[in-house]
Amino acid sequence: MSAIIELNGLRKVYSKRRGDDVVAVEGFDLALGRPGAVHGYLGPNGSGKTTTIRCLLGLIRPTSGTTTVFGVDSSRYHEVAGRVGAIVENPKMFPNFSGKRNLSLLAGISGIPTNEVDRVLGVVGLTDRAKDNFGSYSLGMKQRLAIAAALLKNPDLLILDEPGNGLDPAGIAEMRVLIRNIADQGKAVLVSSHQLAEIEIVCDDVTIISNGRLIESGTLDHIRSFAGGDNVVLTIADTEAALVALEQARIVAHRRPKPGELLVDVAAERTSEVTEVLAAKGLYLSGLRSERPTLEAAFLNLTGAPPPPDGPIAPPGPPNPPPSGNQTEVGGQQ
Amino acid sequence: MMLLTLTEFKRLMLRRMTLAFPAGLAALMVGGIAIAYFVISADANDTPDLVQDIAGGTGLDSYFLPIAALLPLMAFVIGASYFGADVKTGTIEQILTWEPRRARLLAARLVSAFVGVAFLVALLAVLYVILTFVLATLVGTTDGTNAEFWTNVAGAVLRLAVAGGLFGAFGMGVTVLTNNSLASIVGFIIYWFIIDSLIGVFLPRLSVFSPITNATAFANGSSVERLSGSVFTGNAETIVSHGPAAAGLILLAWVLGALVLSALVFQQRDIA
Repeated sequence: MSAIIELNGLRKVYSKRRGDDVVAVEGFDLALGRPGAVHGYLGPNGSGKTTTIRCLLGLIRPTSGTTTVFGVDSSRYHEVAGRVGAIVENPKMFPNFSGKRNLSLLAGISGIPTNEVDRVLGVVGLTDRAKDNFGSYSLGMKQRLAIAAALLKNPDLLILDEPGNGLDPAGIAEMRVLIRNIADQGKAVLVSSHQLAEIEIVCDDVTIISNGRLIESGTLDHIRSFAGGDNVVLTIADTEAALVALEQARIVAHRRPKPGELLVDVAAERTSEVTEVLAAKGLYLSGLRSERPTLEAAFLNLTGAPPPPDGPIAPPGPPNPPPSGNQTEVGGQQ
Repeated sequence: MMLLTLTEFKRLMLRRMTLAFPAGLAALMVGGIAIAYFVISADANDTPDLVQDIAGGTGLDSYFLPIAALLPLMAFVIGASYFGADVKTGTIEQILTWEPRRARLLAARLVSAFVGVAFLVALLAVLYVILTFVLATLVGTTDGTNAEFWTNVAGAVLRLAVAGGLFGAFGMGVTVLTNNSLASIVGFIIYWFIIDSLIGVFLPRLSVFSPITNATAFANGSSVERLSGSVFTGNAETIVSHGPAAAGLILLAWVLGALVLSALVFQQRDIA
């Protein structure tokens, strides 16, 4: 079965008034989206995610290349608009209209009955606040209303651009459940985000872009494979001495953001080598656990971005080639 | 297309600006007539005649003058903010994901702006007629309000409504071009009160094509006049350029020009 979304040589350049053109999307081919699957479209802020989505929806014109949705070129997007629900960046509704009125006005464009408005308000848990003005909503409620708007068409493809923006942890967890439920109904979901850890939990497939370039695309496991193998996390009192000891034994290790923790690039079955080396130096562990490679680790390896101590990823530099062996530097500070 | 137009009309009529501006004007009219009532009541010799004193004769030469400047301004502001609010809030992006055909969206909005604003202008004009009639009944006379008078009033209200609707559509078209309702409104006011007057003095041959002048002539059912000769040499005289029907067509040409240009720009614009 062919992909729902196809990008062919997509390139978008924004012309600035003072002459400095900004290349938002460098021009790449990509096929993504399948029924019942969540596809994460990931990249740092400014990497070209929203520009790609706007091109898909016909909101902006590509400088060159084409995009298709359900096999239809975006210049004829109206032919498939009824099958696509979308949120682009922040929720955009009329602040002086109630949530319900905002949805009713959108529903009216396609002749969707009012009871469907009530239904989607219930799906996103906004029935009680439906008559309140959109302007009085919290950011999380606004996001939920925007999702309700996207769901109004009962779309076959749902495009959510940064749906977790502004949500608290509980809101993000709710959003994940909602996204998964939608996909489980056989719909294709494209979720763009820069919050890799949040998206990793819900995605089946992943595309990573950076600086307007396609870095890698495939299943979640395929992308994770770029993070290298399993790792071991040690908790130890003297991390400096442990680092020196491991280095002398030619075992790659890194500091972790959390004090007293080291990330060691060895598979779980080689843990005994590590403990032997440390014990020989009189260094004893207070904790040890194995850690699966994360999407974030894969992303950092793929893009060459400096690993952040916490929070969302930082804009990376130019992409690096895929890593080899377990010599990659994952999840720690240099 | 019908669903889209009906939805857009509903969206326009539910907007705060669409309701607040006419409500403010209605309040001004009621206040103005109330003041007039007390002023006239205080003078036993002042018994205004609706037809002669207020309307300026059966030809209604001065009947709508007190509201003539406010109605086009209201129409333009409502039309401009109708589109400008979408740009400001970003809702145009949301709407375009539902109706990606921009020409259709613009056409639906054009119809909504024209019909909606024309309706509001007609309502206000009718309110004004009712208020002046009540005033004349209470403190003056309504003698002479025969069928010809009311026919003329109905025609004037209709023309005012059409002119208002056109100004509403014009305001929307200009705002599609500027992408900013405040810029459109300020530009319109500057044009109306400064540039249009300067053109009237320095370029009288061009002034006969002014949208303001032609709207006024069309709404009043009067001719467009211009100066011939020079005001500086003292030999200027006023001559008739064209009648109200031609004035209406010139106004329509302005509106259509703005809309065609705005449609071309909107079709090509990146919504980002």
